[in-house]
Amino acid sequence: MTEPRKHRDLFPGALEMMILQTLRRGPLHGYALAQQIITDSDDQLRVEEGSLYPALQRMLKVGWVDAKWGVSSTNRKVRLYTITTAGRRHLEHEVSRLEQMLNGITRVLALARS
Amino acid sequence: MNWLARLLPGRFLQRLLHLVARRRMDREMADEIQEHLDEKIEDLVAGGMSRADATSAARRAFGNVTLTAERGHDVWGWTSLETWWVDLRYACRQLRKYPAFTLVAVLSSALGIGASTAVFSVLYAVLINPYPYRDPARIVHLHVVDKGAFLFDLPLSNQQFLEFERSPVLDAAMAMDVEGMAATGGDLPEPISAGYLSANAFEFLGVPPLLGRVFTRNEARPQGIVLSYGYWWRRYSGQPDIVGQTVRLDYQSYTVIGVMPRRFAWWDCDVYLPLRPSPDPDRLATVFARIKPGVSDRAAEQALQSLVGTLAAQRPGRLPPAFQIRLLHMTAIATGRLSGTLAVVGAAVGLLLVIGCANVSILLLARGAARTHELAIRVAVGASRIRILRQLLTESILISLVGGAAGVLLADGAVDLISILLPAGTFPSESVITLSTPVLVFSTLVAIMTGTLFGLWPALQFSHPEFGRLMTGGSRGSRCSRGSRGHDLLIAGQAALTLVLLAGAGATGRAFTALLHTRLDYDPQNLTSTRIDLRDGTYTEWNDRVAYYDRIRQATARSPGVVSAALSLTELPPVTLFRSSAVELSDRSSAEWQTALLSEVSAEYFSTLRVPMLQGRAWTEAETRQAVHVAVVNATMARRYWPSGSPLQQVIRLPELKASTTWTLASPGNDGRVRIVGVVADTPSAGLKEPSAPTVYVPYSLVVGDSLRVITRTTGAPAQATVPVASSMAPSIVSRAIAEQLRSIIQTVDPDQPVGPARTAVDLLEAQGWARERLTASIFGAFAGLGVLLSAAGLYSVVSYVVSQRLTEFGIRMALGARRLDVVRLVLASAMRPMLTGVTAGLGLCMIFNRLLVRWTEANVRDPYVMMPVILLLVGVTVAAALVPACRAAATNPMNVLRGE
Repeated sequence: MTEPRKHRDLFPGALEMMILQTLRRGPLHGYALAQQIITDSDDQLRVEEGSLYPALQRMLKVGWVDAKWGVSSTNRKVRLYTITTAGRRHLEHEVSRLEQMLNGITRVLALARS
Repeated sequence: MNWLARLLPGRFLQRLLHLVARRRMDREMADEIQEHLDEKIEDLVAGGMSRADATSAARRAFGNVTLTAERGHDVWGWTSLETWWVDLRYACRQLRKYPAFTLVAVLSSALGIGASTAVFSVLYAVLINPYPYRDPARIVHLHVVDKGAFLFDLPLSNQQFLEFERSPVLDAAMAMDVEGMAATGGDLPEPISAGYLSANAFEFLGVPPLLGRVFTRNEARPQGIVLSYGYWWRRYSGQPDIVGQTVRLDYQSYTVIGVMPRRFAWWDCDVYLPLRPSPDPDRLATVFARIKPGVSDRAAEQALQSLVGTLAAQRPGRLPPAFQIRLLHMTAIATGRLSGTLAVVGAAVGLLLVIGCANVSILLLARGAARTHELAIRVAVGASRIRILRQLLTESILISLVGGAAGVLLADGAVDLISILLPAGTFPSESVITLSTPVLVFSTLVAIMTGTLFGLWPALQFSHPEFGRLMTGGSRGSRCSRGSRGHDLLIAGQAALTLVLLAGAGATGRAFTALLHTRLDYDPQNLTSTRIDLRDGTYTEWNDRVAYYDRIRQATARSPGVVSAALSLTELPPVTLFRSSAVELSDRSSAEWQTALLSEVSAEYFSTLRVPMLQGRAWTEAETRQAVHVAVVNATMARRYWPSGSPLQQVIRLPELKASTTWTLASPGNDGRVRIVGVVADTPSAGLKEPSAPTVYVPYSLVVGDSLRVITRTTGAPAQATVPVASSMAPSIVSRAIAEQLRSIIQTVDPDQPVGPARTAVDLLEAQGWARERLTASIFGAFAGLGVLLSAAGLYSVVSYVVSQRLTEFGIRMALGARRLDVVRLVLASAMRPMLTGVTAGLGLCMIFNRLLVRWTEANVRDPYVMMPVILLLVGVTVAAALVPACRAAATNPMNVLRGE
C-alpha cells in the first residue's frame, strides 16, 4: 500500500496539473492521457498509470473536468475527458503559484552556491 | 422536499445523490480501467511482445487494480455512509437473532418515549404554545387588589379606556364585554355568549379570519358579526357560504361578515360584535392590554397604578381606598392552574423514561457479556475501538428509534385519553392537544438521545481494549467484576427511581381521596345550576322582574322530580365568587375597610343546598319577594368580624349593594343596609383548597340583574351517573338532560326566555379540583405501575444472567454439600443487595422530589402510610423477580455442571 506512493506524485496536485495541462490541448481518454503524460515527460516521471483514475475521479467531483462516453480513433468505446472552465482557472492559478515557488527556490539555491 | 433541502446542507444532499448513482459510477470506472489495460496490451503485442508477457507488463505499469478502483470509489466520500449502512444491517440482524431481548428492550424504550411524548404534547399545547394570538406573553388582564387581598376585575368606561390606552407602558389595549344573547332564528331561542369587542380587538389579537373578514376601526356595516369556529359548526354545520347571510339575535338582524379559525376561542364566545363606545360613565368594559416589550411587570404596574389612581378619583367609591394594580398575564390565567400539575407529571415521566433507559442498559450489558466471543474476534481481526463503539451504538440507537416509533403510536392513544381526562376549564380552549410536528421532533430527539445514553456505557465497556482478553483469558468464576458492578448500580438506580414514582403515586392517590372527603357543608349530589339571561329590554321594572323570577322558581319547584329550587346570582360552590363588597359595620369606625364576598340568593338557597344553619334563621319566601333588608353570614365572617359577640341582629352596610349599571334594578328604599338574621356553615367559596372567605348572603331581590341561576335539587335520578369517581364525561350528559327539562319548564312561563347550559354541582367540583387531582393520581399510578414492571423485568434479566454465569460455582457448592435452599438464598441476596441500596437512595430522592410535589399538589410523601406499603411492594417485587432464576439455579444437577466444565 505504501510502495506505489513513492513515485506517484512529485508534490500534492502535480498530477492534477499535468492532467489539466494535457487536456487543454484537447479531449482525451484515460489510456491516451497516460501515454501522453509519459511521452511528454520523456519518461522522466515514472507515473503509475493506475494513479490517473482516482485523480480523475477527484477532478470530476470538484468539476475541473467533464467525462463523456464516446468512440476513440481506434474504434474503441472510451470515456473522453474534457477540461472545464473551472479546470482552466485552477490550472492557471496553480501554474503561477508553481512558478513563484520555483522562482524562490532557484534564488535560494543560487545564493547558497555563491 | 423543499424543507428537506433547507434542512440539509447542500454538500450532504450532493453526497446523497452520488450515493444513489454510486453503483453506476463504480461500474463505469471499472469499464474504463479494463479498456485501459486492453489498449495497453494491444499496443505491447503490436510492439512484438507475447500476449502473456504483455498482460503482466500492462498490469505492472498500471499498479494494483483493486486498490485503484477502491481509491477512486473513496473519492466520493461514500465509505462512511456505507459503513453506517453495514452497521445498520448488522444491527438489524442482531436484533432479529435475539427476539426476546429485542422485544423487552424495544418495549422498555417504547413505554418511556411514549409516555414522554404524550406528556410533552400536553405540555406543548398548554404551556408552550397555548394561544394563537400575537405575542400572548405580553397580553395582560388588569386586576385590583385591596388590603384584604381580594381580587377585583378592573373594568373601565369608554372615556377611561381612551385615556388608559394612551399609557406609555402599553403597546395597545382592547376592551371587551361578554353578554348572553339569544339566537332567535330557530324554533326556540338558544342562549349564546356574545363578545362585544372594541374596534381594534382583532388587530390587537392578530389572528386573521378563516372566512370573510373581521370588523375594523372604520366599520361600515354596524350590524356585522363574526362567528367563532365552534358556533359556526354547531349551529350552521360549517356551511362555507355563511358569510353574507343574515342571522337573528335577540330578534334583530345581523349579517355574518366572517368566521374565525378553530384556535381563536377568545373568552369562549359564540359570536363577536363590535363594542359601540358609550358616553355613559357607568357602562363598563373589561380591559386587556399588551405591555411594551422590555417593560417589566413592576414598572408597568407602577405606571398604571398612578393612571388608574387619577381615573378612580374621578369616580370615587368604585375602588377601595387602598388598592394596588396587579397584572395578570394571559398565559397565567389559563395555564396557571395546570402548570403545577404538569410540572409534577413532567418530573414523573422523566423518571419513567430514565427507568426504561436503565432497563435497556441492563439488557445490553447482559447481552454484551454473552457476545464476548464475537466481540473478541472482531478486535482480533483488527477492528478499532471506535469501530466497535460505533457498531454497538448503532444497535442501541436502532432499539430506541424502533421503540420511539412504537412509543409515538402508544402516545397517539394516550393523548386522546388525556384530552378526555383533562378537566374542562383548566386548559385554554385555544390549545389543541395533538401529536404536532414539534412534538414528533421532540420524540425523535428523545429517542436518539436515550439511545446514545443507554448504549454508551455498555458500548464503552465492551469496546475496551482489555475487554476481549479479560473475557476470554480469565478464569470463569471471578470474571466480569466490572460488569456486575455496573449491573448493581443500574438495578439500584432503577429501584431508587421506581420508589420515587411509587411514593408519588401513593401520595397523590391519598391526596385525591382526602380531597374527595373534604368537608363541603353542602350536598353536591343531584344539584344543578342553570343560567338564564333576560333578553335586552325585557322586564325593566323591578316589580315585574322579581315577580317573573319568582314565577320561574315556583314553576321549577313544582315540576316532577324536583325536590326544591332556589335562585342565585352567582355560581354554586366551590366556584370562587368574584363579586365582593366592602362591609361597614355599624358598631365600628368606618376607617376599617372590611370586605366580604357577596352572594345574592333566594330564601330557599340554604335548604336546597342543604347548608347547615348554625344560628338564627334563614329569611322567608315572603321576605325575598318584599326585598326585606336581611342577611345571613357564614361562620368565617361571624368569627372574623364578631370574634366575641354574636352577629345576629347586627346591621351592616354594603356599598356594593346598589344598582350600579343600567341593567340592574334596585328595590325601592334600598340603602345597602341589612340586618343579620342567621349564621350558616362555611361552604367552599374560594375554591376547594382555600379556606372559606367571609361571605354575606342577601335576598337577590335587593338588586336584580338581567341574569341569574336556577338551582335545583332533583330526586335520585341523576345520582347514579354522578358518582364522584365516574368519568368526567358522564355528568355533562346528565346536565344536558336536566337542561332540557328546565328549558321546557321555564318556557311555560315565558316561551321566549333562553335557557343556558346546566352544570351539576359534581361537574363544578370536578372542574375545580377533583378532576385535576384524579388526573395527577392516575397518571402517577400508571407511571408507577409501568416503572415497577420495568424494574422487575430488569431485575429478572440481571439475576438470570448472573445465575447463568455462576452455574458452575453453584454446582461445585452443591457438590460440596450446599443445600438447594442455600443456593436460592445466595441468589436472592445478590438481588436484594442492590435493591436495598436503591431503596435507601430512593428515600433520599423522595425528599427532594417532595418539594416539587408539596408545592404543586396536596400530596406529601413524608407519610408512613404511603412509604411503608411502597417499600414492601418493591421488596416483594424484587423477591418475585429473583425467585424464578433462583429456583432454576437450585434445580440444576451439580453433576451435569461439573461434567460440562
